[in-house]
Amino acid sequence: MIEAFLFPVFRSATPLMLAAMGGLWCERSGVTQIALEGFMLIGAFFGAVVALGTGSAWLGFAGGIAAGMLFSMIYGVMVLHARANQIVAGMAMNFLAMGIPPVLSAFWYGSGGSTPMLPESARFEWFPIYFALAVVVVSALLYSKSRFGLRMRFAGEHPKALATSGVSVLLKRWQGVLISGACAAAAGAALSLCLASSYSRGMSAGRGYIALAAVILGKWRPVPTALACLLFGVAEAAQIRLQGVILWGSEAVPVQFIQMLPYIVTLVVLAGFVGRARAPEFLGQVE
Amino acid sequence: MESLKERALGGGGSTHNPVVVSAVELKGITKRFGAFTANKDISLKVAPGSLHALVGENGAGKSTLMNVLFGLYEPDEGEIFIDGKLVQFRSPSEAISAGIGMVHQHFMLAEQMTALDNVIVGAEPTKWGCVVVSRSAARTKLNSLAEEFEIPFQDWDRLVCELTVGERQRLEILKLLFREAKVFILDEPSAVLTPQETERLFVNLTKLKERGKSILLISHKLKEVLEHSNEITVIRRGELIASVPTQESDEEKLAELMVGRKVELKDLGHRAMFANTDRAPAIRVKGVSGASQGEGYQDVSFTVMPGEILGLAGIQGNGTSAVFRALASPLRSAKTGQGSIEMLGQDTSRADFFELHRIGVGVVPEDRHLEGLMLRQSLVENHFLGQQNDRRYRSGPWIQRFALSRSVDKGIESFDIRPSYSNAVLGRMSGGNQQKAMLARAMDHKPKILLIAQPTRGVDIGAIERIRKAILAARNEGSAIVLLSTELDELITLSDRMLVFFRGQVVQEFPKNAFDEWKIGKAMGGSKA
Repeated sequence: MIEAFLFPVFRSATPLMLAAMGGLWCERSGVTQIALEGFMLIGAFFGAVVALGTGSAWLGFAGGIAAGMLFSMIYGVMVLHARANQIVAGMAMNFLAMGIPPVLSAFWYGSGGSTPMLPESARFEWFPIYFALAVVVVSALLYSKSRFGLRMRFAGEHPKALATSGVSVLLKRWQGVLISGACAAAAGAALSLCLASSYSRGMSAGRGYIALAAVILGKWRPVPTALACLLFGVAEAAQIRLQGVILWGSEAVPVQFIQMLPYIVTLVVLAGFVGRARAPEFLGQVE
Repeated sequence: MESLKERALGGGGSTHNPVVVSAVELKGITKRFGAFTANKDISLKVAPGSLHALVGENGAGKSTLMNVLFGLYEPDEGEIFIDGKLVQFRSPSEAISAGIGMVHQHFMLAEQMTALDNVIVGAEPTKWGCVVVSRSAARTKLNSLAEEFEIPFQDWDRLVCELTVGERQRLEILKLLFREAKVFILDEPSAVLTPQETERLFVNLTKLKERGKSILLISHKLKEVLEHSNEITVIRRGELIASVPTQESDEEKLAELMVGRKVELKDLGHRAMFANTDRAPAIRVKGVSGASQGEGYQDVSFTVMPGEILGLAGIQGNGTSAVFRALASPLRSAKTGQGSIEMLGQDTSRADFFELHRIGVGVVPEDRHLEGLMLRQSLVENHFLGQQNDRRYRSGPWIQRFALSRSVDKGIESFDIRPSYSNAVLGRMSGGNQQKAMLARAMDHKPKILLIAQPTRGVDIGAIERIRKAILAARNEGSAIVLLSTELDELITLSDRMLVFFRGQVVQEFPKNAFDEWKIGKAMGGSKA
């Protein structure tokens, strides 16, 4: 029972938790982060590419994270230096991330946006799940106990107070952006190296946005955010489990309706609770 | 090593008094922004353990000078000496490490963080190699500082948003003490305080002085400056006008030095209110309750007679702003219960802005940038705003530009708005001129009722005088006026009657002959006098 239920829940929640922790730190530092979806795609694709090339899941995971951080630098430059609108720039990143894998996979594999199947040896069974849990625990500790966490929160709550105390707000926000790039890319690599067995086109399937919803639902705090991710994990695990199951009558519910489940949960939960969430005071404002 | 340094500086610092080294010395500071010179060759000395006041009109360059000292701006010319040593600050953190701290007018506190976190951020005591914040060590240090300087504060774990303005200010001072500041810069610290809190602030500042800290105080409240400072420096248009010992100065002289001409702030030709009780009140508010923008009020009733100024006094958040909004923009403030609001005999509890305008109500809203003006537009467009339905300025779908700009010119002349042309863009004007433009608009249709909020917030002395005179002139012509102000001084000067709000209720009413700053302040703090 536990194995049959808990394992799929944690499996489904893993990419959500990773991406959500990235989004949390970025938004805590005062930068709106709606590009988690794009960062995930980049991480998933390059994770699979590196794993294929080297035959090592570990190198693939690391390569995905590195690619995600590099990619997030574009976002950092756009919003922190060119002061682009963070929503618009975030959307641009998502579109850019959608376009990169098809082009490169056409060159490298002659395919239309997916990688070949990864061999068993270049895939993970457990590691990303533990990694995600570790990231949550470390985030929670950093958030409440560390100097880093305190300063990150001030960068989002009152950047001027931080600046007049002699701490660089820009540095904190760069850290936030890079952490979101690394974490969301790790989430993507977990998708292609663990949950699936190759990169396929658009495989993040809105998980980046659900992770963002989890951040809001968790009021920008690590533990509640992780719990929100688990809630979405339950919905997703249930969705997978219920496909093709006859619930009533003689026919199964069409699979499309079952697949809606996580998104419906997101909508309902956000509509029901988001009113009480309070974003960091200076979120999205670069002076 | 130490003596070497001092010897090296000895040559350059020969003008120093060899006995008492100034805690801060500014020498020939010049700061330009493009073609504009904000500070021109300013030199001043602050003796250790003294309170040095910096007075001047808005835009005179006081804040620029303090920002130079605090490392936010680098001066174009001039030198800064701290304890006789030449320093150069490229950022606030360098100024902080040299022992300079600043309490900004808008507190540098994050509302959703605890008091403790706000104090320690950027200077956190840590354990385990700079990773973990040691909040207990910070608490111990802060408690001993609070005791040493007699600034009681215990609620370290409370969120800043739950603290009163006075507590926040004490927190800011403790924040500087925590950073071991020796020189305290305070920017308009009493602007947001009640008289009692102000008194307490100066008790705290005196304690700081006694323990050898030096204080630079920016203020435009001449009375408190005269009462508490040791030396006063006057700045006008970026230039130092005079530095005088406080004993040798008085209010009139200072105001004249600040503005460059004689000013009347108090005695504005006030005449006693004639008792026109036989006439019907212009505003009648009966048992109104409600809330707006998180500020509630319960069971508020009052009347305002024609030719009377009713002052609304209260510390921010105690209901005055919400009641003002219930009068001035009824549709945007939720009311509950049975109460009614009548203006000039009409029910206005659901009136929109045009309706108010039509029956003869003029409004000067509280926040001129948020609610009052379009900063990117010209005087003409701003004058039209809210008067779109006025017959004088519109016929059918067409704007009567000619009539409009003629009326703007009239406003420019009678209120002395500068720059004085009708196409001037509001965003390029000083706060005082923006305020005058709003007043000119509110009075344009000769309203029988004027609802005025914060008429002189962030406005300099010369403009304050003109604005106050205009308000009194409208009163003398028979307008009923509701005046909301956070400056108690202003309410006392202008009002004929005052209502004091505390926690959303009218706690006390003061007639003109019973105005007493101390008693009103007490009522504002919740205790009946």
